[in-house]
Amino acid sequence: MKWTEEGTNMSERAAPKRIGVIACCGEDLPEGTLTRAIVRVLMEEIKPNETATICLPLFLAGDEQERTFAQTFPTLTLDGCEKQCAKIGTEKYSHAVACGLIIPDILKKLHLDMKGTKDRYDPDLARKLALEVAKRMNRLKRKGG
Amino acid sequence: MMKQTFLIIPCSGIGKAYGTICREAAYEVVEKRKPKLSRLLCLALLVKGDEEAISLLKENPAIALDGCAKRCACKNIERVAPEPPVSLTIMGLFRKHRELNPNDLNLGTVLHLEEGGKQLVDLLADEICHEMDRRRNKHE
Repeated sequence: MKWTEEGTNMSERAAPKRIGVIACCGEDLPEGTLTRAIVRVLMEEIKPNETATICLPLFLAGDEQERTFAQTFPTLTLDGCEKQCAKIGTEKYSHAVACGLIIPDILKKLHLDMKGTKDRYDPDLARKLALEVAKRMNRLKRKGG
Repeated sequence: MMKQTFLIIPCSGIGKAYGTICREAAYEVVEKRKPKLSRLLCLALLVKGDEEAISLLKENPAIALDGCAKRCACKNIERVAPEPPVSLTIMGLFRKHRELNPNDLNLGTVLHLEEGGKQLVDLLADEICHEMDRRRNKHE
């Protein structure tokens, strides 16, 4: 049983140490740049010891070890648009994701407007959204992945 | 004169400043230096297998920009494009510009490039433009 210590059952799942967060990084839209900033804010400020990430295109350019990422870490994907490249790509080449988030949906939930451009993300917005993603990470950890 | 649009596809490198350098060089070319001759394409679309993105690659030349030796952008394009892309890498820049020592440059971080990182953005943008001109001249 994944993420379960030997000798325990489902109700006693150990919380995973790290949650995988994969950003689409979409180069052609501001929301893609924002996904990238959010992951870095999580890794550098909010959850430096609880966040793991990988470059999405490495699933195809890398080797078998890289493709086990979403099996190794309960994984949350962060997509800039409804095409959901990060979610679909991760599930196609690695493993089912625990949670797929889309920037416009998070903005709507938080009653925020999109700010920033492709080449310049808005740091305040990135931090607000990173805090929301961190809540999802906490939930995943409590669920045991 | 060829009428195709160059598809500039930087890697999505998120672990080091080199990925950001590729990304910003792509913006420099597409938005400032050659906006009428180039456009961006999200690399993630190729990972997903997006039909529209693959069609674009079949009709237009691509330039892959990679920050590390894994060459994700180049390899993902090669999987679906009829012709291999022009492949430019940060390591290639250092090979060409021997006066630059990666250990001496203050590149900055993934989220914020410093002077050394910006210098590499300019040099990589020069390389992209040079490759575009070379290819266009060849087809004249």
